[in-house]
Amino acid sequence: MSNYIIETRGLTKKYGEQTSVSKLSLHVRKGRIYGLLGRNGAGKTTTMRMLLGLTEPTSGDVKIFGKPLRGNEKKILPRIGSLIESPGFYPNLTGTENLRIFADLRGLKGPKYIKNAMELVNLPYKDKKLFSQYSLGMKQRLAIALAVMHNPELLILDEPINGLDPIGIAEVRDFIRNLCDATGKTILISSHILSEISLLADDIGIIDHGVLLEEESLEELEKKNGKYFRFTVSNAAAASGLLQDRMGIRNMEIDSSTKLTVRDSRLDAGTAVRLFVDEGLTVSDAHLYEDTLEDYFKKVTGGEGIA
Amino acid sequence: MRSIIKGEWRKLRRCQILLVGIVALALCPVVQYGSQLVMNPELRDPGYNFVSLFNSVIWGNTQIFLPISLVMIGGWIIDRENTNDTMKNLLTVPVSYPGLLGGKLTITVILSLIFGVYSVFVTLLTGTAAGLDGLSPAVLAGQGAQVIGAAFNTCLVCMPVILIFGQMRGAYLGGSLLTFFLGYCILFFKSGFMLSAYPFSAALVLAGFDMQEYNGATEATSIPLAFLGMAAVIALTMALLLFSHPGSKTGTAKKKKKRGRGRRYPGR
Ligand SMILES: Nc1ncnc2c1ncn2[C@@H]1O[C@H](COP(=O)(O)OP(=O)(O)OP(=O)(O)O)[C@@H](O)[C@H]1O
Ligand SMILES: [Mg+2]
Repeated sequence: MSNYIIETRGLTKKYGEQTSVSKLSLHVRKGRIYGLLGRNGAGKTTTMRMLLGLTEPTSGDVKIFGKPLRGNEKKILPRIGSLIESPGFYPNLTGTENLRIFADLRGLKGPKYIKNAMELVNLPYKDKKLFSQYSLGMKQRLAIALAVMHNPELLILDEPINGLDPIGIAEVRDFIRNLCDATGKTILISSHILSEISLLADDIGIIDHGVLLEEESLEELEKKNGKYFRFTVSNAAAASGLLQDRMGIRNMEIDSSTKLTVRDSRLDAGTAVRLFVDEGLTVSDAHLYEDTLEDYFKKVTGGEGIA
Repeated sequence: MRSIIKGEWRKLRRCQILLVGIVALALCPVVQYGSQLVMNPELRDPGYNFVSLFNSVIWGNTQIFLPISLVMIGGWIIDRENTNDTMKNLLTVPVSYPGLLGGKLTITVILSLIFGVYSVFVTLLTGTAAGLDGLSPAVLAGQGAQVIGAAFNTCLVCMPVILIFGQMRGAYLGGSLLTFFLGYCILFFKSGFMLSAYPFSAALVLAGFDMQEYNGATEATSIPLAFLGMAAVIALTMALLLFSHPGSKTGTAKKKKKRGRGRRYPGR
C-alpha cells in the first residue's frame, strides 16, 4: 500500500494528433506541497483537469487517496478543493452569493463556512460588489476561497497566484504554507514561475511538452545541484597545472587566461589559494557558485529557460 | 436535486435575459389586439371581447412568444455555465451533469408558469385599457387557467430544443429562432395525425384550447393523439438527459440535433 495521495500511471491525453500529456507518472505524498513546474502549454492544466475527472484521459489511470478516481468520483471529489485556470463565477451575483450557491451544493449549512473562507482570502463578507465588478486579484481570491471553503484534505491549485500583486502573492504563499503545516493538507500547485515553486514547494515535478522530466524533493534537488569554484588569478593555465599536480584535481575548465572554474567537490578553497600565492600567482577573486534552480530547469528541459 | 434547483433559482438574480420573456409576453396581447384594430372594418369581429383576447393571447403565446423566450432563456441558463466557466466548479463538487440539466429544465418550467401568470395579468391590463367587455370571474378563472396551462405545456414541448441548443456553445439564439419556425408550423397541420400530435398543437389541445379558429383545422382534435405527441417529446427529453455528458462538443451535439428533429415529426 503506497502512501501517495495522488498517484498516476501512464497518464496520457491526446487532442487529435497532438499529445498534451504523455505517460505521466505523478506521485504526491501526504502532507506535502507538490509544485508542478512547466512553461506555458506544458500540460499542467490538462494534467490537473484529468486528476479532477474534468477531462477524460486518453489512457492511463489516476489514483487519489489510494482509490482509482474512475467510479469513485462521488467519494473522492468532495475531499478535494480545486482551482483550475481562471476563476469561474456568475457575474450577476456578489462574491458571497456565488459562494452560497456552491456551499449549498456541497451541503455546507450556515454562513460560517462562507464567512471563514472570505476572511481567509481577505475579501469582505456580504459586500454589495458584483463578481463582474471584481478586480482580477479579487476574482482569484474568491476562487481560492471556493477551493478551501469545505475544508478539503487535498487542494489542487492551478496557478493560484495569477493576477495577484506582490503582497497578495506573499499572503497566498503564507496561507498555503500554513494550510499544509498547520492542518496537514496535501497541496498540488502548478506554476510557470520557478521562484514561486522554489519558495513554496516541498516536492517538485518538472513537466515539459507533456512529459514529466523530473520528480524530486526540493532538498534533494538542492543537494544534487552543481557547486563550483571560480578563481580569478594572474595565470589560469599555471593555476590549473598546480591544482592537478599538487592536489590531484582534474575536473576543471580554463575559461580565459585569468579565469578558472573547478567542479571538483573535494577542493578546499583555502588550501588552493595558499598554494597559488606560494607559487607566485596573484589571486584577485575566489568564489563559490551554486547552480540556481533555473540552471537546473534549463538542463532538464534541454536548454530552454523559464521566467 | 433540491439544492441544484435552489441554486439555479438564485443564479437568476439580476439576469437581464429574463426581460426577453417579460417584454415578449407583454407584447403578445398588445399585438393581438392591435391586429384586430388594423383589420378592415368589415373583417373585424364585432363581438371581440375579453374571451377573444384571451384566446388570441393563448394562441400567440404558444405559437410565437413563449417558444422564442423560453428557448432563449432556458438555452442561456445552460450555456452560461460554459461561458462563465463555472461548469468545472459544479462538476468537481460533484454535481451530476444530467441532474444539473434537469434542474435547469425545472427552473425553466417554473419560469413558464410565472410567465403564464404574468401573461394573464398583462392581458387583463390590455383588455381593460382597450375597454373590452365580457370580463367575469368565471372568464378570468377559465381563460386564465388555460393561459397558464398552455404556457406550461409549451415549455414541456420546448425542452428538447433547450437541451440540444443550450449545450452547443452560443447556439441558444439559433435554437430560439428554430423554435419560432417550429411553433409557426402549427399552421401547416390542419388535419389528421399531426393536427393533434404535433407537439406545439398538442400543447394547446391538452390545455383545452380550441385551435380551429386560428389554424383553420378541418376536423376535430384528438386528445389521445395529443398525449402521444407530448409523450414523445418527454421521452426524447429523458433520453437527451440520460445520454448527456459534459464536454460533448458541438460536433456530437449536431448529430443529436438531427436525430432529435427526426423524432419530433413522428408522422412524416
Ligand atoms: N481542449 C483542448 N483542445 C485541444 N488542445 C488542447 C485543449 N486543451 C489543451 N490543449 C493543448 O494542450 C497543451 C497543454 O495545455 P495546458 O493548458 O495543459 O498547458 P499549461 O501547462 O496549463 O499551460 P499554461 O501555463 O499556459 O497554463 C497545449 O498545447 C494546448 O494547446
Ligand atoms: Mg494552465
